[in-house]
Amino acid sequence: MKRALFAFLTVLIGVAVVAATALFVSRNGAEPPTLAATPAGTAQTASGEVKHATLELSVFPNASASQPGPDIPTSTTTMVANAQQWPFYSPSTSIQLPANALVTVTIHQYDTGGQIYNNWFAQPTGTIDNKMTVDGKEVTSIPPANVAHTFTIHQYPESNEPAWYVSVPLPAQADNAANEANGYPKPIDVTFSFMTGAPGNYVWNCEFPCGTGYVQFGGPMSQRGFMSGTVTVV
Amino acid sequence: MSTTEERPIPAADEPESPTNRPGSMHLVKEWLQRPYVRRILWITVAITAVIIALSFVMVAFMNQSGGPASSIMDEIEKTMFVLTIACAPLMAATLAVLTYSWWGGWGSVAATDAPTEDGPGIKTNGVAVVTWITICSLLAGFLVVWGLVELATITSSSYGSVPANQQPNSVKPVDVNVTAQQWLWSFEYPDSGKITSSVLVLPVNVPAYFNVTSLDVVHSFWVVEEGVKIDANPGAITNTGFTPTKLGTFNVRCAELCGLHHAYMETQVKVVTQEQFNSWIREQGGNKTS
Repeated sequence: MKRALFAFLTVLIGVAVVAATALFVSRNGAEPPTLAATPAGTAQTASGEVKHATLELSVFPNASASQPGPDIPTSTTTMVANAQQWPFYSPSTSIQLPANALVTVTIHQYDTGGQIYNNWFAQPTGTIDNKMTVDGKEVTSIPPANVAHTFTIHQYPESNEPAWYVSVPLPAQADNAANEANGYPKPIDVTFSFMTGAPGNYVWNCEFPCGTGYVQFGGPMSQRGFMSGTVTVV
Repeated sequence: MSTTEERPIPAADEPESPTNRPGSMHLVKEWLQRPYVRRILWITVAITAVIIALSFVMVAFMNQSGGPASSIMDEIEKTMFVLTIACAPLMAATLAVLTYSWWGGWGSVAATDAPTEDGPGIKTNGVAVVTWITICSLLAGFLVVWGLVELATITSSSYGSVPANQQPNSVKPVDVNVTAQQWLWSFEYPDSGKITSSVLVLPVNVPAYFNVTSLDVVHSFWVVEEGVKIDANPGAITNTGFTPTKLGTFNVRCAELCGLHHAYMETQVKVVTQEQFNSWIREQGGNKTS
């Protein structure tokens, strides 16, 4: 009887450990709600008339009363407090785009920056004509010493999806830029367009070392929902 | 039983009369007649056949993404195949004894019939020990020699021991500066106007030489189907190379755990004809072609 009880308890503890691990992984692996691009009719491109969609994102330097920031599902109070100081993309990092369409993205950039590790990421790549506009002005690169973040899409491994690579640098705010009523400076608006291909799953992340620790690739750069996410082409 | 004393001594020019001592072949035949030996041998043969079949599956699995695409990967696959085949009989024999024992091949004794006294001590079988050690030594020696020869071949083919400009190639290699960073690759072509790409494009049958580095943490530059892998270290440059021998699109991956998107740190290597490569260089704004 005693042996049976110990065996039962051992199994029970094993089940509890597995269940707790699964719950932890499930909660931390959860992606933010999907942000779908807004249909905008059709557009004329070099390959003819295609569907057109628009997407609007913002990058904030930290959370505030007006911008609460991403949720960290499983964390301590200290971790949540630290995360309040992390930069983040808003309103979501899980993006859904239409397949075989022209997508125009506008990013409102509120954060400061500095020198990017690799100058190559200071130029837009994979956009229409490898160009973008900064506050309405068309550019093909920005100073590598004045980059705040990048928005860089690439493909999943082990996938049969076509290779896809889009990277856009976001210029930094001046360190002394005055804040407006919402607690952030006037945003720098970056607009760019690119073509999507066949349906598939991709990821995107920031290539500027804007995190904490681990060569500035820890913190928000290592936590889902802040500076990286998914792109689902449907 | 006859003794030496009872046996007549043959004359010097007569052959010696046969004794009743069994010959070695007779011993082997007698051993093979034992039921348990025959069963274990049959299991060995069956497991060897399975291992050999699986080795073909292993190679097919390795090649499912289009490889081998270089002589280096050819040698690596050949080595894995030959070593698997060479080890198969020995592994199968070991598994056969285990399997036979697991299934109660030696018989079982009920608890009530368990002997109350120790049996005779187990004696060393000298023939078995010598045979086992000899076979294992020969196999290990073969693996070491084969491995060293292949390692020298692969190292030479990947410029591991000889600088690119001293290689006995009539074709000038394509130099590529490989930069790893969380979580992307970029490839710069210093001889073609320093154009940079997120995809590695190489001409077929032309040696490619890589200067590999990292801008943040340690990564590993792994060109899967070409059979090349080398660390990408921050603040240092490591070198490797290969000659792509097959047209097609293959994979470049990071083989060193490097953070959140390590699993997504991959890109493609496109092996094209020299003409296509030249066109691509021009399209990218390069000022010179190889």
